[in-house]
Amino acid sequence: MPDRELPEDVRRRLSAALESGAPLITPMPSQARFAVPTGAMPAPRWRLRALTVAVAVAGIVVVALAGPPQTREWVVQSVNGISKQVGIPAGATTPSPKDESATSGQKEPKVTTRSPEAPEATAEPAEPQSSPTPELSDGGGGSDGGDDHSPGPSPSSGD
Amino acid sequence: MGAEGEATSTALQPGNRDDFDRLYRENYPRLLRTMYAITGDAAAAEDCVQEAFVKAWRAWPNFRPERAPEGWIHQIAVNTAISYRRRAKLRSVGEILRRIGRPSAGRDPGDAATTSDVIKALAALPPRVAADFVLRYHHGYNNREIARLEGVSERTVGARLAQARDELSRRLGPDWRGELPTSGNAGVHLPRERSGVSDA
Repeated sequence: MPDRELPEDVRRRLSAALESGAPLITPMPSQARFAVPTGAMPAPRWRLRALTVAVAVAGIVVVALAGPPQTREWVVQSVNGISKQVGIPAGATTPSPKDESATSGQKEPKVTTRSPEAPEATAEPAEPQSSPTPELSDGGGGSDGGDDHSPGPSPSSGD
Repeated sequence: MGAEGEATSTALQPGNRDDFDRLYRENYPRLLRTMYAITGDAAAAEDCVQEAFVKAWRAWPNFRPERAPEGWIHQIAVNTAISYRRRAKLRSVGEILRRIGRPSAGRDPGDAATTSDVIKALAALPPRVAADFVLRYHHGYNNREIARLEGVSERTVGARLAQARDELSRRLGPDWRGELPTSGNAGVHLPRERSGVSDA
């Protein structure tokens, strides 16, 4: 590709346009913009870090409160750990829902494990004659049979 | 980027404030003219150059010494100017919409090569094309030096210059298409920025 040269008058016109339009006043380096904001730079970084931490903590809290019961204990423990590190008094508010949820989380499985056992218990005694009210007998049998049903308590005590 | 630029690139140490000040002093004039050609606005050009040096200062500790610092700061400045032009286009959308439907003012052939028209025509070029044109025909760099400065091939530089000459000749007149060199470097002139002397 041939490299063309501009005529001298065109070059002069170009230089005149550039130099007259943007007069060259070079600021001293100490007056340049890069020398000024160096002290102000940490502020946005701190803001960014604080925002990141806040979002992360909020996400963990949401997961702790709305997550599945299996992971809830672990997440709540981690939230408590973070709250201790941050310095928020974790005594009154945060542990109580955790404990409640933890205890309820322990109780709930027992109830759910018992309910499938109940039909077996009703099936074992072989009360087909009372078939018209099997469910009622299940519920009543669960409560009533708690005393005399040995298969019900035995697995829980085994655990 | 002649001997001066190479000497600078070997002497500068990343993270050193004095070296960065030197980089600033030596490159500010060239960058200001180049940014002016890209943006078409003196204030915007100053803003872009200052912003480019702010970005460069932040990255200065991680600068790799094997790279020419003039090319590095040039790239940062051109990218800054490209971003500026994008933002300016977005801002001017409303203005363009307002102008739609109005008859355009007729051009006076006598004003074809006034200063503002030259700058307007340069600013209408793609940013890298305008930058190469100014480096070549105002700052006096040759194609090889521009290619090294920008990290592109000489063929790319030649194509950009040809594109610039075509566009400018369409807007400003056939003289801007240029002429094939006849003998020697009769038309070469080095502006003051190139020789390291600023008129500040």
